[in-house]
This record gives sequence, C-alpha cells and structure tokens, in this order.
Amino acid sequence: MSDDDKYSRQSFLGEHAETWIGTCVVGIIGLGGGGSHIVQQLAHIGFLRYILYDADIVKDHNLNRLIGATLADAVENLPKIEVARRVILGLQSDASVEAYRERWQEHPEPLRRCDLIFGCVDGLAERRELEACARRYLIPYIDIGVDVHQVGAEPPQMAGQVILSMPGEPCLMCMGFLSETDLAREAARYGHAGPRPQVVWANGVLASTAVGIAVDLLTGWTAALLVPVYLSYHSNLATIKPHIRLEHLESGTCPHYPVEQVGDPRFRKL
Amino acid sequence: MSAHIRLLKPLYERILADLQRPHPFASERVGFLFARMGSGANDTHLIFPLDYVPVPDDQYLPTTDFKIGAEISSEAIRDTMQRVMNTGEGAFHAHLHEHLGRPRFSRVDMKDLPLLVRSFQHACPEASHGGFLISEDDCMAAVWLPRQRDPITAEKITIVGYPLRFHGGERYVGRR
Repeated sequence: MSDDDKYSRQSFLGEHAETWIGTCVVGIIGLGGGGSHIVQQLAHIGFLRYILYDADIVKDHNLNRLIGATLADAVENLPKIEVARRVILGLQSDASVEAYRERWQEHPEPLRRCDLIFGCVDGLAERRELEACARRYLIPYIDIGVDVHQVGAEPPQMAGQVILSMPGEPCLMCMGFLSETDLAREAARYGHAGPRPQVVWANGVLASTAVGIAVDLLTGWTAALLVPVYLSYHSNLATIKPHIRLEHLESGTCPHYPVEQVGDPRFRKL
Repeated sequence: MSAHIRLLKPLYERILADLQRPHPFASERVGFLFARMGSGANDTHLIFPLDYVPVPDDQYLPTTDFKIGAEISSEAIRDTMQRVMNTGEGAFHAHLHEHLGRPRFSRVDMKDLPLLVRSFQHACPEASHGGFLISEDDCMAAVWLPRQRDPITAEKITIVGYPLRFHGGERYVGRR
C-alpha cells in the first residue's frame, strides 16, 4: 500500500480491513444530529453499502447539528436522506445507497439485510422496536443517544450513551437501559415530549465512539472489544466510560430475546 | 434471488470443533444444521442456522469406496426429516474439508446432496435446505430455496460475533 492510497493512514486496522468494511451492509436509522455524523465518518472510512431511513426534511432548527446540511437545504426542505446520500457519494462515488424517506417500521425488509445497524432514534420505545428487529434477524445493533436534564437551579446536565447490543448477549433491557417502568412512563407522556435538546459536539462524541466500536467489531483490530458495550457519556465532565450497570450484569443468555424467536414470525403447529 | 446465511459465532465454533473430531472408522464427520427463515427485500432469502446436531457414531456405515468420506444410515436422515417436518426448519448437511481457503463441494457431494435435499423438501417444502461446507478458515453453502429444484450458492455467510466475519461470494467484491 503506497502512502498515496486513500486508506494508507488506517492500514493498522489489518490486512483485510478494507474488505470487511467494504463488504458490510450498514443500516442507519435516523439521520439527524447523531446519524449524520455517523454517515460522514463511515463514508470516510470506506463503507460502501448503506441502507438509510429517515422521514424528515431539513429545517432551520436542524442546522445547529446536521452534518452536511446547508442553508439552501433548509430553504428547499431537502429530505435528510438526500443530505446523507450527498455526503456518502461525495466521498465514495461507487457506494450503494438505499435510502427510504419513511419510518423503518413501514418498510422493514431492507433493514433485515444489514450486517450492522446504528440506531440514532428518539425515545425508548423506538429503541426497543429497533433492537427487537435486530435480534430477530441476528444483527449487531449500536445505539446512541443524548439528553439534557436540569434540576432546580443547577446547571443543565448533558449525558448520553453508546451501547452495542450483540445477538446472543445481554440486551438493552438486560443492561438496565430499558425498563418496563420507563417505557410505560414514556408512553404516558406521548405527544408531550417537546423538542429535544441537541448539540453538535455531544452528538459528535457519541457518533465517533459508536463508529470506533463498529470498526473494531468488523476488523478486530484491538482484539479487546468486550461485549456487550455500554458506555456512559457526561458532557459536563467531558468523560465517557463503561456504565456502572455492567459491573452488576448477570451472566448467561438474554431472557428477553430467546433464540426461538429468530427469523420471520410464523404460526406454530399445535 | 439470493441467499444470506447468518449464524452466531459460538454455533459456528461448535460445528467446526465437532467436525474436526476423528471418527472410529469414517474419514470425516457429518452433522445437520437446523435453520429458521427470514425475508429481506430484493428477493433476498435470509437463513438463520440455530442448532447443530452431529450424526451419532453408530449412524455411520462402513464403506469401501475411498471417494466417500462418510456414509450415514437412513436412520440419521429419517431423524433429520422428522425434525424438519415437526418444526418447519430448514436442514443443511454440514461437513468439513480440511484445508485453508474457500472449500468446494466434491463431485460426490454434488451427486448426493440433491437427493438428500429432495427428502428434506418433501418434509418441509416451505423451508430452504442445502449443504454447508467448512474449511479450516472459510465456509460456503449450497442453498435450495423453497420449492426450487436447483441450488444457488449463498451470496454471503455472516458469522455474528467479535470480530464479525463474512464468507461467501460477496467477500470478493467488497472493494470495487
């Protein structure tokens, strides 16, 4: 590999890294603040096969964080999937980009062909549905998210997570990220969530971390990825570290997604 | 039409370890993979092997034909057909070619495998069936999609674990 080669500076990833990365069909659900970062980084790294979902268009209030979007895109109400497509093809002109301007639940079949899914979605129920799909079709799922909380007169606290949910390993529920109580609470607030605070730097930290995990998962370059991954981000402290819940994780198989549920749902003979 | 096979790494390692065990008299081992089905877009058939059952030692038959690595009894095939019929799973005959690199089915495999698959199709025509061939560092599969007379080669076989590994046709067109 010559120094002029596009990937010479990432050759430490391994002899076959380009092949593994180029072969991987990657799904990205949600192309807003987090997903747009991920798309851009994957295209730089050399990913060539994308399946994208986002129903939204670019609006002025997205421009504080939507990577690749311009003022003109907001004026033209350009769909976010088209921004992502432009970013990818600008770096990988021969990439395959399947982009769907709809919720993935309305057209789930393409998602099942993915080798790896990034979830950049709002809300706990959305995450549960996406993970359930990934588990059913044996697809590793990487979840990112950030939120801002404020209690009383204290300064706002910005925190988030990066989670790798591997089929056969503990899931978001096992790791304590999701719970029936929190899901019920979210359902009770339906329609009253309001606009979610989002900033480009926090999204960037989480997206970069998620992409780093994906590259390690594909290339094995660190030979040290400990699955499952649950990283906790505190923007105020500028830290990202393994979540304390991992220390209390029970070993064994995941009871929420038994192997009998893999594949298309079907009727069972009685 | 294309077929993608996806299985968990612990299962793949279990298959490999089992097929590498020497048999008292047969020169290779045989097992059966049982798989669930899924549908992807673009006429892609997703196949998920979830269980592996080795053929028990006493279901191998002695053979004097040096071209045949292992001959198994009708009981082994009946047991497999019964499970296919009971569960609606697909069945894949699995064996090992002990070398590095992409394995290929032998002439004997290509002669016998269609007969075996026909039996499985009778038991469950709605499932995909076929043959799964492993080498020491690679694998490939011949897949008879539901109700199809002729097989296709699995376009991609994904071993889901750390690291993720892809085998099959697509591996060689990753970088264009």
